[in-house]
Amino acid sequence: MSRIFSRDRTSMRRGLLLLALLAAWQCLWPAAAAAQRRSLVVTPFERKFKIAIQPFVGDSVEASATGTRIAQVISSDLDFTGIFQPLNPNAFLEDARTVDNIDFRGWQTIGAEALVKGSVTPEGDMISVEARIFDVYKGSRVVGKRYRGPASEWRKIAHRIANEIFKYFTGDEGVFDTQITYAGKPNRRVKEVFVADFDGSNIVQVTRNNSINNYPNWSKDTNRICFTSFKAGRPTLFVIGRGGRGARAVRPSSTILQGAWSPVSGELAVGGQVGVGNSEILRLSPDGSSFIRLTNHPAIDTSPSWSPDGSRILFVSDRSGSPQLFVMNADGSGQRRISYQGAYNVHPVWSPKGDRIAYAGMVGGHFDIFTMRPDGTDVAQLTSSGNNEYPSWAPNGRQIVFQSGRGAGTAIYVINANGSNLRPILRAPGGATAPTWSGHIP
Amino acid sequence: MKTRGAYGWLLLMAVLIPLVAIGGAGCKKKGPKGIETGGGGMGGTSEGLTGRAAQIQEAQNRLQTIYFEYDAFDLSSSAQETLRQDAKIIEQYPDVKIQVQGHCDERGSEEYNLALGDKRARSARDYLVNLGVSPDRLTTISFGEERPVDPGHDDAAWAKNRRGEFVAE
Repeated sequence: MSRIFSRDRTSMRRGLLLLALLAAWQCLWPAAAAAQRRSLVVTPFERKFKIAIQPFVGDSVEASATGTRIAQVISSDLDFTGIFQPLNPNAFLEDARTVDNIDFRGWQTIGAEALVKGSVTPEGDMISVEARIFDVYKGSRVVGKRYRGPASEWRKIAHRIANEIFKYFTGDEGVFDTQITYAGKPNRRVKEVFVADFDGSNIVQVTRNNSINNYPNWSKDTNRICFTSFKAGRPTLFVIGRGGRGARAVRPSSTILQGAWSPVSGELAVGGQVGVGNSEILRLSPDGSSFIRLTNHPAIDTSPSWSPDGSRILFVSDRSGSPQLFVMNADGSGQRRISYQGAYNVHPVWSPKGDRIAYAGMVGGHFDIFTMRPDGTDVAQLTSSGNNEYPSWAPNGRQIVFQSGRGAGTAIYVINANGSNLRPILRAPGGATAPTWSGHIP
Repeated sequence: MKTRGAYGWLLLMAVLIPLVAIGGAGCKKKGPKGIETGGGGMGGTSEGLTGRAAQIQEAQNRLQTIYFEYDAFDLSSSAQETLRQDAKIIEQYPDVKIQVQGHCDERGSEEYNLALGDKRARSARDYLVNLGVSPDRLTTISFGEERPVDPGHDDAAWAKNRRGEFVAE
């Protein structure tokens, strides 16, 4: 011991090394202690978490078929996130029915870190689905759940199971119970609002008024969509039920260009000409009858969006010469510019996690998706080719949906917040634009 | 007898049809205004139209579109000249109202362009008012990027789309 603390140089170095190791061990200790459950920390290029999902078993041909489909949906869902790698079922050696004496070592040899098994039991028109998640290296079952619902809603059950798996291994909510609303063009003269599942499936047309309808945005409870429509002549804000019923103008006497619901109240932040002839940002009461004007500037002020706690509003203004990003308190005070890179920055949207803002910035004649901290620092570029606009965050803040392309070729894509896992979600003849991600749909 | 009856019917039709055409054409169309681009107007020719409908048609055929620089809403000297001529035309048809439409090319953000188109429309409108056109004859609307006249993706197409159009109604 005295050797370590002697003044001799080699011993000093040895002593320092020992101290460094000790310090490092102290840092790791809390993490080790907290690791009751697995935690995925993803950085770009890190390898994906390998998960084996066996077909859910059933006693009848039909139940087995449903079980196979459920496993496929779970696989697709987890693959969608870009951080899981569902293993090829052809490599599976063990019988899917085996739930006791699972050969974890066998699963390890094919690289599986987690294993999912399940069963489907019909109960009249309903099905009961049991799902079991195993941690292969721990060699034990970590989650066991049962779900019951109409047999026709097997896909919804699969999404719930996928959410459960995602939550167990990442600590975050999954997005498999969410939707995207967007604008599509059934013909050249017309633009209508559509809704689809987060992965682009199950497309449903929401508006059918043969006019131009655009910039759809979700209500907090996901039951309604607000959108800008030309159907009454001048553009103004409408609200419609998610199923396409009950459309009404919020404030028919005013020209409104975009609207966004507060995440905490029923108010709407809008960009438009309410009481004045210039495009300003205002807060409308839920029924549109009263308003508070937030900006007061001859420049174009447009594109409002809220912070997750409803205390601040982002917007776009060209008051400094070209479109840039600004933030203000929800009462209009404290307006300040936050974008200082690039000459043309638009469509700022706040991550539900609160820590970053995504936006579209023009780079050499086309747009790319960027994120940065809400104070404008730490700018990160996520896309680098094509024309990429209109970002919208997933409710768990891990992924961003956006539009890419020009004209009728514009399609909808998703990318992870760290720039990985770029994937196409939806394309349509005539183009698909203006995507906005919903919250969790009950 | 039959022939005279036939002539009588013909005469009746000759009187009634133009009256119906004027009445029908003079009525405000239901549905969104200005969905047709300027120049489309009420029909191809003024044949068979009289009164206000003919006025609208004529005014529409004569009014010229103005053009804007990229990301700008100010009026070039050429745009100002066109507006001076348009103002004179508008004064010749005192019963006609004019919708001033602002349009943008596809390059900027759609949302920002919706606001920019509005500034273009109001810029043109204000100039016309300064030239003496009565403000209550003029309305403005922006279509942003939604109604290009040229669907191309090059400078030539974009230049045609950055415009202020005048729809007689």
